[in-house]
Amino acid sequence: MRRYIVRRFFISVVTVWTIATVCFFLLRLLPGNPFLSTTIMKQDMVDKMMRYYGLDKPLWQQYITYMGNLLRGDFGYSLKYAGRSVNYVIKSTFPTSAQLGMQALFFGIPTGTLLGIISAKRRGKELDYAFNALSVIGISVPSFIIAALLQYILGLKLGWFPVAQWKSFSHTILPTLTLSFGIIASHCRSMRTLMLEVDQQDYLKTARAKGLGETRIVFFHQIRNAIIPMITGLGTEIAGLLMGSYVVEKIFSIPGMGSYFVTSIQGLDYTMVLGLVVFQGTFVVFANFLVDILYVIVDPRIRIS
Amino acid sequence: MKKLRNLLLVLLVATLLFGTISGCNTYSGGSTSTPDQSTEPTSSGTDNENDDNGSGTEQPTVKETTFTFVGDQPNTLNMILSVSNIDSHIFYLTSAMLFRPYDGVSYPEVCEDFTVSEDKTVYTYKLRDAQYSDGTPITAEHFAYYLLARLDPEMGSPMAADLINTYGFLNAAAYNAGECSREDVGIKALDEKTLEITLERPIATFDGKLDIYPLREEFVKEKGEALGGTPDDLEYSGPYILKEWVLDGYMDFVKNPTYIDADKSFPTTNIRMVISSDHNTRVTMFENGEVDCLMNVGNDYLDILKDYIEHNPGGGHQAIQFNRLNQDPAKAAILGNKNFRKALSYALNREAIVAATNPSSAPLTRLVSSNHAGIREDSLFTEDFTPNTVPAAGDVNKAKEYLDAALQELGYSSVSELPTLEYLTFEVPTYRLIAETVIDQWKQLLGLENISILLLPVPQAIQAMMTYDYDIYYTSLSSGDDPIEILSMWVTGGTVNDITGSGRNLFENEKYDELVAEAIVTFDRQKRMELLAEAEQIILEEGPIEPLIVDGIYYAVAPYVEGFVYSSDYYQFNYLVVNK
Repeated sequence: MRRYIVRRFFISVVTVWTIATVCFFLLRLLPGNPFLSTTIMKQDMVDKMMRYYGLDKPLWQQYITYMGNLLRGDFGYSLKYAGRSVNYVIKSTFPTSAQLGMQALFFGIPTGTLLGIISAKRRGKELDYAFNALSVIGISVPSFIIAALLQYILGLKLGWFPVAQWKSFSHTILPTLTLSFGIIASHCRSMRTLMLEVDQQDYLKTARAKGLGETRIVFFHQIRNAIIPMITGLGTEIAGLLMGSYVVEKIFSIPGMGSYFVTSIQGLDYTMVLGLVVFQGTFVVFANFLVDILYVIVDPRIRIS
Repeated sequence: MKKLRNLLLVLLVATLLFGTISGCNTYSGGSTSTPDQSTEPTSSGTDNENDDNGSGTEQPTVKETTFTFVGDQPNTLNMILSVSNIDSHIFYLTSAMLFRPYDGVSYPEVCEDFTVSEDKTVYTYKLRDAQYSDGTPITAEHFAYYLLARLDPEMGSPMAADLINTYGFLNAAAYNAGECSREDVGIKALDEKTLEITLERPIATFDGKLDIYPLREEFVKEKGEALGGTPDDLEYSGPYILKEWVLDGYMDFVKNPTYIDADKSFPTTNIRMVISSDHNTRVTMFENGEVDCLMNVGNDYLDILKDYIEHNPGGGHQAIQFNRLNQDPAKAAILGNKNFRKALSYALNREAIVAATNPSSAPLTRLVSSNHAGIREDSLFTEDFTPNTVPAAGDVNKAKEYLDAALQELGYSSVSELPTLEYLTFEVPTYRLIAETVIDQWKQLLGLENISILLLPVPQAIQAMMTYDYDIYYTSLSSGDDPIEILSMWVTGGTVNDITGSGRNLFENEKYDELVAEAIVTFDRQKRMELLAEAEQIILEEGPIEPLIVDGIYYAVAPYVEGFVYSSDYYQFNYLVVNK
């Protein structure tokens, strides 16, 4: 087990390094210039800006400097937002995005799983159809529409929650609901399918045949086996949610990280794009690393070779 | 063993879920819309010359009031690297100024008075006693450094070209090119309280009222790259202190008691600027009473907020630019043909374009903006002079005549023989909509089928434009404060005409260059405006660009807000009162 963990850790580090390197060089292949995204400047002015930020040096030299800083955990300063370091942007926006993502996960995954279980157990009954309809809506209706509906009904008409901004817990409720809607829907659907799949397995027939109670069968045999494939996608799903959602953050005016992913690549803000990609990459790699270990523990059939 | 495994499982799930978000409740600090931070005056004492703080006849503002509005988050608060007026909105609130513009007029602030030499090249400013929020006095050196730092070639100086073009400080261009030292530039602090500005030659449009800020060299050096990134990396000499800046959330300002005119202006004690990029959310917050003002209302929400909406017409100029320097000689000939460009311009119904794309904008048929003063300070240039130009609703018959003439000159028998021309614009929804409308009109009215849209992200589009790698480009120009600003962009070697400074001009006309050059040194206002009007007529006639629309903006203010003045350059809350 220890050797497995050490090896996986080593692979994770190499993966992150590869992400940073590939991204560093790919970014420079993009046409355009970061200093021309907000204003039009004469070429000699652009050259002066390039010199000021050290972008006129040979690429390998810039790469070595960047990697050296990266080892010290320094992502550098944004090219577009002078004075704002990428570390500062991550430090001040990631907690918000992460909190929102966590809340949505905490609410969404158990709810979705539970609905899926109920749906499977009530297969072909009214409740099953209702939950099925709900999950189709949840998957197919885009989040900006759900957000606007929630804002209008729960915020403006009923006045239960503030419509936007990020101040107190009550401000977080509408965006959490919006974000968890999709999670509930997808988890409900996949859990239902998985439960039904497991239902046909021999070991459940055996369990029933030996006269076990239905509750015990569902909780100790069916759910435990059905949940395993769901864990596989968990790492990426969590990482994705914690990194923030551009749409939801924009609609609810949440000071999260989501928008930086979009604006930085549009504005060719090299350092910002790189910093965010390396940060998210590290996060995904790390989350998958944990999920892999979790997987081994949950499923005794998987043994480490 | 099984127990242990279950325990591990629980632990791992817990780590996975909680481990990453330590300290994520930073924003649940329950900060309500009125920060209860009382503005206590610093003990160092305010040194106003005449007014006694507090006991004067003017009522001192003791009542805490908060003005909450939705505005734009600045890109940077680094004054040297700032290129956007979105940043100067904030500098206006946090920094003292030599002259403070308000509602179209510049009033002296730190400047006590100033003298102009007889040849109108040397301006000498006497300063009042003013200080930063930490008690350090503001000296002439700081104002000089602000300008010199923005010209310093080693500091990036993205705005140097504009400074040089607008004011022409002595040796500023040479200094920026690295040809002389800082001491040679005509920006000098003679002593702590005297600032001397020397121009290379007299400039008629320069009235001496510099709206510049003080900046301390030691502070800039100390902060290095971090300058202007957070509230702590900024120095405060203006009406407000930035207390908190939650990125993409809000910015909280409290009144600065050491500001030089703190008693006389900026009566609102707290300002919160909410940052929200979604139009629907902004409107809902306004309807809900969560904010008192929206600096920008989306066109789709005009009906909902019609009781509070106001319109500001003056904005950037959008025009269609033709690349007569196209690498393809056939295209270069077409785009360089005056009649062809005129045909495209006359075919456009600008009123219909505005109605279909953006009701806050207005049709534009000339270069000078409708808010520039004309022959007299209180008259309008656009009313004093009416050039011969395309009608706002277009003129299809004339367009067809121009097109026929162009085809004949170019040797084509019909429009279908023309090569495909690309209309380059930003990959932004509003730009795309305008492009589609414009091209549709060309197709419908002139039968021009060979024009396609090329959408590129902003940096790539600008890059293509700067390397002359386009056919038709939808361009945006700032109109400035005086007709001369936009007209001087188009002289030979002008900032837009010869965008890269490589000598490749989109428009060359000797008479035009002469007129603009003469206008710059003509101090007689009427004469100067007449020269500019003549120049405008030439460029409209030759048409290297065809003006299309002028941007406008809708904003909303709650009825209980008094003294609100809209400006696209600054947040002018000088006399704003919230009676809530």
